[in-house]
Amino acid sequence: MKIKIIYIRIISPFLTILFYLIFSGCQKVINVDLNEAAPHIVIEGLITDRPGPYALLITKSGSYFNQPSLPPVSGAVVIISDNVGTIDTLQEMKPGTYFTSKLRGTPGRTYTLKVISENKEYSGSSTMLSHVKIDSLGLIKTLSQHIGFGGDIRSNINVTIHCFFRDPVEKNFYRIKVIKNDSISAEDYRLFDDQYTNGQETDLRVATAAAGDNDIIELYSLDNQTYEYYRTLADLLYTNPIFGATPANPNTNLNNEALGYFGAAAVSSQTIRITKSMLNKLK
Amino acid sequence: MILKVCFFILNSLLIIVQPVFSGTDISKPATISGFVRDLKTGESINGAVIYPKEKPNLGITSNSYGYFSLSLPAGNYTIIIQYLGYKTKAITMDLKENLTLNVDLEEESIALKEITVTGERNNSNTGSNTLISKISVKEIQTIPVILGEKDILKTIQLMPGVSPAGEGNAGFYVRGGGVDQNLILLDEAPVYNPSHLLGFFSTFNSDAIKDITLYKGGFPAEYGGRLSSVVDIKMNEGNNKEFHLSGGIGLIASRLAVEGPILKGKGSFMIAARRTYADIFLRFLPRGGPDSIASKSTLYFYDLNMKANYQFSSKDRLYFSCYLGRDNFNLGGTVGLNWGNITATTRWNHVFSEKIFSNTSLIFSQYNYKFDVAVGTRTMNVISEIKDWNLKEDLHYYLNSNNTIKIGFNSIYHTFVPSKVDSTVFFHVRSMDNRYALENAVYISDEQTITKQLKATYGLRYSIFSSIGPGTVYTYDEVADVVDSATYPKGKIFNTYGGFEPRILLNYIISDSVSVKASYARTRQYIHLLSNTTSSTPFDLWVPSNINILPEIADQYTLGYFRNFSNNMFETSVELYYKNLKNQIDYRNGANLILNNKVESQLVFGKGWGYGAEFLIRKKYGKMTGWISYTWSKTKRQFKEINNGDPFLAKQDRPNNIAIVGMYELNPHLTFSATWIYYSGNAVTFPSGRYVVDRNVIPYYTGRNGYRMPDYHRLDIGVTWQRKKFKKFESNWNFSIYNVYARENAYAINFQPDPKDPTKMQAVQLSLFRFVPAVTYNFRF
Repeated sequence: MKIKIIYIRIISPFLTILFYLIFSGCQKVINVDLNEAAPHIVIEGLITDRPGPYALLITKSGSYFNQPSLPPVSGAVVIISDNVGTIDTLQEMKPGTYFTSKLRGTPGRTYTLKVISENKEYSGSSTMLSHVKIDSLGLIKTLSQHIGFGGDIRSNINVTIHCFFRDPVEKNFYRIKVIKNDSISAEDYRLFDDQYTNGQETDLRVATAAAGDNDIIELYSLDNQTYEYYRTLADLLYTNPIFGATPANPNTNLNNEALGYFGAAAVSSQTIRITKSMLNKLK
Repeated sequence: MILKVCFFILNSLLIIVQPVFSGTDISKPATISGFVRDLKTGESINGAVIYPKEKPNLGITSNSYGYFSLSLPAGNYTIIIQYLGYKTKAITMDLKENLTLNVDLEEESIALKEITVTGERNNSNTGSNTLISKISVKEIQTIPVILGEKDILKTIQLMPGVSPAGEGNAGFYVRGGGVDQNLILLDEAPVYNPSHLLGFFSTFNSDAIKDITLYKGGFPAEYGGRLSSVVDIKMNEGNNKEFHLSGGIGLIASRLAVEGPILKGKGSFMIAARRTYADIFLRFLPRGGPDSIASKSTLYFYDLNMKANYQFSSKDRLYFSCYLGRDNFNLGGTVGLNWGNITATTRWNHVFSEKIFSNTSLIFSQYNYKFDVAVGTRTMNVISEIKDWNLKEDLHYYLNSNNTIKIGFNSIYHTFVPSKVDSTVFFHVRSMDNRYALENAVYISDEQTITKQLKATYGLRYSIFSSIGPGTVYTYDEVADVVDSATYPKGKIFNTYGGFEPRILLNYIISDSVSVKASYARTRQYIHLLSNTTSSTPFDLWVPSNINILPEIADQYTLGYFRNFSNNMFETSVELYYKNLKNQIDYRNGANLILNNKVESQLVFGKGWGYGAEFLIRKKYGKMTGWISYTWSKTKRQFKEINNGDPFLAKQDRPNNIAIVGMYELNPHLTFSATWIYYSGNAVTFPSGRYVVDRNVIPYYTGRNGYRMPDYHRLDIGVTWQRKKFKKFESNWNFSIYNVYARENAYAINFQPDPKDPTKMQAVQLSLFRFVPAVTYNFRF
């Protein structure tokens, strides 16, 4: 577990509380006149070491307030190649969604994306680092404490799902994804690197557990660029603007002012179905 | 020993300097020298004007210890001694030989003030060869402030060219400079974090403060180390004739101060304390209650100011001042955070001869924060600190009636502790390396009366900054990866930077009440505050210059027109400035500044420039006093890595800035006051579009600071009710209302999906402080 994340996680609500405690803040929705930037292409694709086909989404950016839905980009030429000579031209199966046909994600390979749309060419590449296997998932009873907005600390005993794995000696970047009861919602970004745990047995607390839950835990091993994209994106999405830095677009590995990212990740996943008897055993 | 050597060097320097500066027309001069003090309290008066009536252009002002030395050809003189708010004194003498003249000035009573308005007044604005804004605590006593806490750092923000860093923020921008480019001195000791509670209060308890002097340009050579301004704050010395106890009870804080003589007339002391009790309100929170965690939590700050001085002989006086302040926050014994400053200054004034005054200071400054987490048996604590030992010597050499030479040096040993981690949870978490540095400077300046109409202060400062081992310095490539590192052993000096800082200020006196002043100053800054948040937080980190961080350099040019009207009842001025900044610091996208051992890799460097015009009308006497200030300015920055390398508006860019301050004394019992403030919103970055990735709506930005926050304005009013005065007791009530018309000023604007309909986007404005009334009771025995 990374101290920096904990430290920042504690500091941020801490300052926010301090703020609300003393000063009667008032929030209201206001009208702001924003410029309308010219639409930009948005590319989103992730090659994993799971069997394909892999999807690549192409959309366009739009007005911040005045455009209810953002258009998909059809008719683009999309090619993904790897460094061992595979060249895969993607097929558009529905507007803006393109699929691979022969590519198979393999750790150690570098994948290069080329998109040609409206006479402009965009490209980016990403290397799939080694697969890091989740050894096991476990349930652990812990005292969890968090700071409520009333300034109180809510401490309760609860059961959390822990994910155990061995970090390889090389520099690794991770993202944890929790899929609870097959629900698909906007993604969150739980990110960490092995700065403090390099080469060690690692124990990550990933989710709270409740009877009847079916949790799929996925561990993504990312390259630095993809991690950097997620990290700067998370920064933008989660930082409280009162304490945040000047916002900026996330650091992408795509060129030609394309938004989004193209990444490669080795994924390991395990499923845990939590039953009442499992929880009872933990007494 | 070191001191002796230094004196020796300085004395030798003086011997060299002397023939160069020796005047030509001195027939048989004699020197009048001494101290100007307050008759009632014995406190020294800084900035009093002393001049012979026969030759008014040969005047001199008392220095910060009240000392003056005036050389005149032998003859008959009437020496005038003046200071604002005090009765003018005239002493007639037949000057034949050197003379010691200690002057006690008597404070004007309120009744006298009205009568003497027609009397002779000093042209302090136009005549003096300085570019300063000086405010004494006495002057601002009735200005309304938030929650009734008088705050001199907030008042200084009402002067032209100065604007607050945010709503109620103790941090401020001077002429487009950053918050860390202000040198804030409390009795000569730098204060690294002058704010309490995220900046809503400053660390300066007004009971302990005498006055504040702000330099925005034309910096004297004796000041250095920061680019944009010098804020010189002096603590009260304490009454050396009688004991007094004073204090106040306010809405969020109480104050108590005691002062008195150490040995009657020989010395005095002052102790002032202040503590807030915001934590009492924690009990009244919705989830509060006697047993809730909220009630077991603490949230307060305190300040303690102490000062003492003692006169050992007619030539020697020792001063000791000390400040200690701390914020304490603890949530139910689990998470704790406390932060604060300590400063201590020991000063020795010595009069070598009637022409040579010396002050030697040994100064200690420290700022640190401590962060603790304890969950069951698992604990973690983090300490971060900056600490200085500082030796300073200033010699004032009153060469002749036309030249006052100042010469001195300053030597600071900095210790930076970015973070010291002690953890039972994360055994592998290492503390970050301490850094050590030495900052030295020497200077010489001359304040010269060239002709009757032209005065000049010119000087040269040389500063030099070195890192000292042990330390490891990393070199980074363009994507912030380490490419090389160098480790230096203990005591090894490396990465030295230095340079000259020329300073010049010219004052052309057109008539008694009209003058034009022009100045140029170069300043260098070797330590930098890293903070990529919009509000001031205790976690802001000071870092020294090294191979990755070059010293910041500023060149500032100013031109001002000063004119007084109605026998100096009104002071007006127009000042223009242009400023050029080198090696400015900004942050990489997504920069991580906390607990980062390679924090330099997160920085980018660029340049900046700014210009502006400042207008001030100030009414200094009469029933109605106050000022109107207006500033127009532009501040830009340019970084290769930001905004495609194009120039952008700095966040401190505020084109229009207005402050109106009025105090009206209806009768000796009632004084009304009002302040109206208006400024353009900060330059900010808002989205110009949106897109979707991973089903998240992401704002799209086109450039840095392309938008502006809504304009900020606010009216505060106050009334001070002076109770009947008794011989030994006086008291007053102060009522104030902050933001009378409840303007919802935007503190932050957040762009986010509508929680009710995530396909729609909305802008949410956070505002603080609408209509905050306060009451304070003050007393004095």
